Amino acid sequence: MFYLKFIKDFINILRAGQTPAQVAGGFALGSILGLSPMLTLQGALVWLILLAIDVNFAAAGVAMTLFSLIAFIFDPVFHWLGYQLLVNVDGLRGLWTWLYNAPVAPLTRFNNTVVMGSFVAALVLFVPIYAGMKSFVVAYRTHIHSRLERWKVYQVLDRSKLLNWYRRIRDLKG
Amino acid sequence: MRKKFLYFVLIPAVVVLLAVYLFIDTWVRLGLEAGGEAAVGAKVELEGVHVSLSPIGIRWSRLQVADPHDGWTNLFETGPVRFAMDFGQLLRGKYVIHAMTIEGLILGTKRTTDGSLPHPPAAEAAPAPGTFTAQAQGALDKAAAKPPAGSFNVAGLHLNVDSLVGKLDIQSLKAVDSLRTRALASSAQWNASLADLETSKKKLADIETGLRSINTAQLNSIPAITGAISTVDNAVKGIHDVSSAFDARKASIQSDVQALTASAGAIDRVAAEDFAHLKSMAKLPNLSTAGVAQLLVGAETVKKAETYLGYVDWARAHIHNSSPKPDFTTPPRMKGQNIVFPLEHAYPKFLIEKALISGGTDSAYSTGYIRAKGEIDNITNDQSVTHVPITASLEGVQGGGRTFTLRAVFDRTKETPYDSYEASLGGVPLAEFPIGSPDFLPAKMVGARMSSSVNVVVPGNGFDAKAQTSLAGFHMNYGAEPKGVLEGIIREVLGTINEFEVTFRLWNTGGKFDMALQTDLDEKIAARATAALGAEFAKAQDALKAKLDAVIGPKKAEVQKLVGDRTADIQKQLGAYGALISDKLGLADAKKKELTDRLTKEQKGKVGDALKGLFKK
Repeated sequence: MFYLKFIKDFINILRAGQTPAQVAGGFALGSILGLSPMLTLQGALVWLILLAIDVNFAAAGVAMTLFSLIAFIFDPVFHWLGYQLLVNVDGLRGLWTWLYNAPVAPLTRFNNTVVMGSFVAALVLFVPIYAGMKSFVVAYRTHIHSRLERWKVYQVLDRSKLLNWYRRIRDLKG
Repeated sequence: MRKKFLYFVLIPAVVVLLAVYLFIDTWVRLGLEAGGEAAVGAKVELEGVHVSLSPIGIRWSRLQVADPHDGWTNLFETGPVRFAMDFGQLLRGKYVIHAMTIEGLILGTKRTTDGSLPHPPAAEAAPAPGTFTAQAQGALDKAAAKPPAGSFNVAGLHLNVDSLVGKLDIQSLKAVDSLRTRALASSAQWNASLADLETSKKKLADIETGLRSINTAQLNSIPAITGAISTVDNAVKGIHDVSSAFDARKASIQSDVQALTASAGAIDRVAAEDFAHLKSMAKLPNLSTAGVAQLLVGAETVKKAETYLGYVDWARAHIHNSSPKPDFTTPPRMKGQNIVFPLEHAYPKFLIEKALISGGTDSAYSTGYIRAKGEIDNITNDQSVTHVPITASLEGVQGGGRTFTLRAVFDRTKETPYDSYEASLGGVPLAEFPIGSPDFLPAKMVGARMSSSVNVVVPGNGFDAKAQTSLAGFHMNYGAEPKGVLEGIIREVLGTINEFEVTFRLWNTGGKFDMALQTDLDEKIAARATAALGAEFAKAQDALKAKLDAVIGPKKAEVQKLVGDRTADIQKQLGAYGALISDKLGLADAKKKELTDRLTKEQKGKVGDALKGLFKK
């Protein structure tokens, strides 16, 4: 029921409740956690930020689930990207060596190719994900939901068991 | 105290701690033995293992490591060994040992039980591609190759001379045919030239007739005499014209004659080449005996070389190089690849800074074994952290005069790995040293004392190994009667000496391995073999020569006679023609002198008459 509640909250949030920026912020932070491997210092920092600022948790949870799947699919790409940054960019070699010798930096596991590649990808994608999600929430609330309701397909589905199931999930009491 | 905590946490924890306390020595021993056996491929046995917690360390009283190639012999065994680990680094997951003490290291001891494992490693399998053993296989196979069948077996020479000559592509016969054709063609040309000269003969005859028709006595006037002289001069000019034409033809013919004579002489050289080819077809033995070293000690040397190459390959495979750019690998998903950067003032995952080895002094063990002492420094899994190479310096002495030294460097601090080894072994008594092969001179040297030195340098993919071994004080034990003359000779030579040296070099410069192997026996055996086998060779060679001469001789003589006859004939005719021209020139010269004298006399008479007339008046 935990996941169902998460999905219900997310759908509700798309319709109303928190601001689009809060939803998009939670979603973007969740994408960082989803793309990066667990148990890293930067992961803990993102969790801290997620807990500290007023962003949507459900959106973060959905993003983590979605982007974990994406991370698994794109793992070879992240591995390649991390290898290039760690090994083949001579200009960064001094920085990596300094970090490697620093007392806390090794806890970030930055010298792991997948950690480096996925974290850099997550940082690069953070702003587009945030902006895209924000626009989507605004659009959903103003146009998309009302348009969907006018579609015949929607009306047929509205009477279907599937939608009833959806509504039951949506209206679950937290 | 909560009962649940007591039952589910405290009591199990005490039981676990008790079990660890009671069994940790056994677990550590089993773990070390299993790890060692996996690495060596033969039994590794530890006795008296004890794990201490303060300081945290391990000691044992005896270690035996069996030889994977000989289960009844130990590669080495040690007496007490103890070391302590750096606790602070252990908390960081690093195994750092600042000093390890190894006492009583003895090499090659006999075992009381078989140390082979039930499933020994695939030691006989083909070497892995890219290893030095694999790269050197071609050169080593060459060294270990058996001599060509029968190439040293002179007593068994049964030459089928007719068959050999029948198979020979005889070049001298082709040369004879070619010379005959050329001689006939030249002869035809000469005949044509002589026909041209025949027309000149008529001209000469006409000139002669003209000269003889001049009767000097009948010439009474000076104008008549000078007219006759003019006629003679014209005749001389005509003779010179004929002579010039003759000289040109003669030069051409002489050139042909010289070429034909040279070709006739060259037939003998071609025939000699045919004979040499025939001898090679007959596979007459090579008396240089350059292959004797290979024959005697090749297989044994290659066996040892392969063993040592295996050690070099093992060092290359197990002592990893530090590289600023690690290779791109494909790890499991979500695992990634850890890139290592240089660390300052840090320890690698595994390090033994100094391993002190002493050979022990007790006399409990047999005095027949070498006891080694020395030290091995900076044993680590990552030299890019320690920045120093692994070095080994060992020496061993045995009461019987045997000595052993080893200096080795395994440098992985730079991008290109560098290994070097210097080893020497002195006064080692060998129970048996096999030489020869089952097909040729199967024998064993018994009671030899061996001294050898080995220098190996392995910079990157380069390789250069030099080994010198001397064997002395031996006697030979032969497995069978000699099968041939040369085998008997080598046995005879070996019977007169009691020491010899073997020099072996294996190297690669341009990627391809090469090998050189020689002994100082070569010259002695070659000299003795040449003396003994000379008669056999002469007989075999005479038979071949006689048959070849029988085939070539008649045709060669025929064409040489043809050339001789034709050249002699043309020379004779040229000589006759030259004499004819000279004769006519002589006649003309005599006639001119006669006329000149007559003219002088006539001119003097005219002057006298003029003076007389002057005085009469």
